Amino acid sequence: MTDFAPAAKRASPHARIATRSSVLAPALIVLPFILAVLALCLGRYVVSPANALSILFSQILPIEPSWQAVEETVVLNIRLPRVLMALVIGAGLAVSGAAFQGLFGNPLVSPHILGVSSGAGFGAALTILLFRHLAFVPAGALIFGIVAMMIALWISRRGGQSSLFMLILAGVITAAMFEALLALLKYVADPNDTLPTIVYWLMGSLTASSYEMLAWGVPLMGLGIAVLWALRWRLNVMSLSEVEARSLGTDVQKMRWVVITAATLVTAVTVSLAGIIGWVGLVIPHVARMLVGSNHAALIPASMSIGAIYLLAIDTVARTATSAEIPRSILPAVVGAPFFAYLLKRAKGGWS
Amino acid sequence: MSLAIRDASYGHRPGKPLFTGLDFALSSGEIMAVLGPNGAGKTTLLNTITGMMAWQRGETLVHGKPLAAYGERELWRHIGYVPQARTNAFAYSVLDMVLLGRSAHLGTFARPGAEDIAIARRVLARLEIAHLEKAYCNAISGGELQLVFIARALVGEPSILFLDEPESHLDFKKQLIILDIIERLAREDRLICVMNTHFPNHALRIADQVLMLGGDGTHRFGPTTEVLTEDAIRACFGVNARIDTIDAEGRAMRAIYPVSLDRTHNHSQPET
Repeated sequence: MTDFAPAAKRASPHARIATRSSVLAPALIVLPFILAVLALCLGRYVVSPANALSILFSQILPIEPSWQAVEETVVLNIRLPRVLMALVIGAGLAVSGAAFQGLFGNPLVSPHILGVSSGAGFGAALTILLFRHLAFVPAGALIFGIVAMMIALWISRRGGQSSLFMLILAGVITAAMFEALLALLKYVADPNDTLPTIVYWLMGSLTASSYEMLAWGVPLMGLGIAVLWALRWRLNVMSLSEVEARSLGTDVQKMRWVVITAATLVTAVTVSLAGIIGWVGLVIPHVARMLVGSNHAALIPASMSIGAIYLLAIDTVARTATSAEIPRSILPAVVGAPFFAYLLKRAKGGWS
Repeated sequence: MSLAIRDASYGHRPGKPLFTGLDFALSSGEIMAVLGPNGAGKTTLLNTITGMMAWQRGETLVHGKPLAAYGERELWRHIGYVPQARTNAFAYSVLDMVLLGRSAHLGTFARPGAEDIAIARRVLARLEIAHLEKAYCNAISGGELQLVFIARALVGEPSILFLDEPESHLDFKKQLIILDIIERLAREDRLICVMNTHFPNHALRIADQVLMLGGDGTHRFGPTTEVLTEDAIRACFGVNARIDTIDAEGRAMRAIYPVSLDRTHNHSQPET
């Protein structure tokens, strides 16, 4: 046994992680906050960071206003809800992506794998058609997103068990079904009125962000994220083959159900708040893996932070770069796709 | 400390039993080798014994109690399972991978602590792979990965260890290393070891008991020297073999030489 060559030679370069993490962990905690303050300052009406911070703290501390009233309105009423929304949605999508990838033991899985987004898109279109008002859209999207997941789970069940293979196929079937139904809704929608509303909504946007949306979205999403956070080490066990996971004393079927429900809840809420935002849930976990390694105990927190940073950065750029806003789902893909291609090339198809 | 199988039967399809009337018991420090042609159900046997698949008849007793008397997590604190070596989609470090073996001892939301890490490091040292701690599981050799999987099973501190073809795909030397470790675990730590293998010679080398599966519901069980005979090899594998004793480093070692295919053998074995 002694002749097994010393590991140092073959240890991946990522062995440096241990020493790097002392810098990385604080950075991943602090960066979203710094970026958030920066995002509050940027826009058509520029606010100084000092003023932005003072306005924020004046909400909880008695600070004499040294800023103009318009600055307070811009920061608190227009930018803050949107910044918060970008942070939560980015974090939520990245975490549910990391959880789904871990659960399926497959790094190419995205949060939309079980047809959640297609179901939510259909639900949104249906409520737009029925009520001709955007107020009920999040509820419709959320309900049908979860319905889609339940249908996928039901299709995949055989003898009380769901194999991962069946789950993926069931997700494909569910997504296809809801996309067909969505196409039908678009076809019957009024091309002058409801059709554009449906199309714009599906493209995804954070423009409609409000404290009301945050008030119901954050607790729901928080619940899902909290469950995934608590199970983050267990996700390592779940990423092994089913036989291995069971032999490590894990109730695979029950755990799978819990993780899928939590991750679906998070995804469905993000879709109902801001439409279908692709790429974040697929790419961010990979970026996180490159930084902190594959262990989900570190990967879940890192994904949250990087997802929040990424979506906030993208949203701020989309909001400030042009006078007409770029729909939210476009920029992540335009930036995300080449970046993902670069990662794939660099990793030579093997993830580490 | 014991493992007993009572009058157990299993078949994937009705009327096509893989095993019928399996009935044997193993006690502390014993090694049982399971032999049989491809498709005879060696992996299925491990799955049914450990309760991952249900026996169609009969039962498994762990330390005298039926599996149903244990909670899922409680059971796997007594049992360790070493799967056939395969790489994972994610590159976990060796230490992280081995720590997963503590999972049956940890609460659903718990993460391994200092004590678990100490146990893992002890096991890594025992298997002489402590230097691999920080290496990535997809960057080490097949033999090293097999040792990592054995370590992962051992950190669960089991009293019964199941190994599914632990020495397949390994070179000559790594095979011996694995066999020596299994022997030490049985002799020194008094573990019950159940090991699937394709190599009758390995059964001769370390096993106290042998279970030979015919793949058609028949089996032979007993002490290695009594069960593993030229006749049994011919009946089970359709291979004419010679068993001889050689003098090696001052001790008598029994070895099996496959000589020729048995042309009269009925090739009805299911293939996998």
